[in-house]
Amino acid sequence: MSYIALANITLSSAASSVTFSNIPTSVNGVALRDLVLVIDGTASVGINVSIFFNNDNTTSNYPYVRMIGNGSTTSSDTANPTVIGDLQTTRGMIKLSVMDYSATDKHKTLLSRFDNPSSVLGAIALRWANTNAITSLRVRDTANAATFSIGTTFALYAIAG
Amino acid sequence: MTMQVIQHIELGSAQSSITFSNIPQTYTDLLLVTSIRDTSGGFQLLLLDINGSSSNRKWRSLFGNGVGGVGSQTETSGNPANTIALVNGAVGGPISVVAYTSAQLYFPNYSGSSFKSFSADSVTENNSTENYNFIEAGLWEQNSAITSLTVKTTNTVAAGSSATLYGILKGSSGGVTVS
Repeated sequence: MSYIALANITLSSAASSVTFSNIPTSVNGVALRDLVLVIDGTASVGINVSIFFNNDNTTSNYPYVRMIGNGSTTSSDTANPTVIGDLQTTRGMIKLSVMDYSATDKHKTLLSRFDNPSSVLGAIALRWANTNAITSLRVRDTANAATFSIGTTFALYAIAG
Repeated sequence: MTMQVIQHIELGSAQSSITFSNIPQTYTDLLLVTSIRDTSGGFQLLLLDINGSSSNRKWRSLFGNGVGGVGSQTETSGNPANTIALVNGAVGGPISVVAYTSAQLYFPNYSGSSFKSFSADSVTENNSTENYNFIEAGLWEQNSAITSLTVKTTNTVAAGSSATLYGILKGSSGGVTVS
């Protein structure tokens, strides 16, 4: 079994953030290597979504590069550390992978795809400048003002290796 | 098991499409992985019908072609509503040049009662300087569960093309808590 479901939630009320805690480095004796997070739904307003690992809220620890398209123009930037994508008031999704999340000898790299068919889509490469194994992750509105809407789903998986 | 193969289809001869029907509703998400080529030359379109329909779709794309071409389009840009990506067509060179477009589509919550999001990533390859990396944000604006997926190209899907449909089931393990 190489793809393992760890936890999930479907919001029954609007939430300002979602946190996955107690992320293990193995399950049933099987070592876990990578994490996959799938978010499907909407937000109260159009937002950038940020991620924080192990309660590290220092934004400079999350440098990133983004490419983005809005249906007519394209751009690329490094202006918004911690961001993993957008969610809008119309349905969209974010799917990201964190490589070697359980390693203790390297910074953690993340690849994210975000898809909003009525707004913007793109891809992000992000680095968490910390060598600790990831034991928790939290996602929220970058501006810490809006909420994830009722019915939005969050599912966390691990890949063994 | 969290991720399982639902069905794998590989074409022994050119066909009009590759279809997955009667998709079981026992998973949470679907992953469709394809290796596709069109029988006509040049770059053609990779198309996807959901539940037999090409309608009720919104999409937004972002692409680059390796020779300075980059762009972003929507379903109103002139391509069909069920466009997923570009796909390479038959080439006239040596058999070793023959290559297939790789595309991966992810459908979260495909059996739910809301509109369905999907994410598509693809890359063409034809051993030349111009090739496309094409990503798409898609939305099927229907509340019905997805019960069939049909992959096709502008003309005919070439022999040797294949597609694999996986089911992914959410769950809990390892003591992870969510709040």
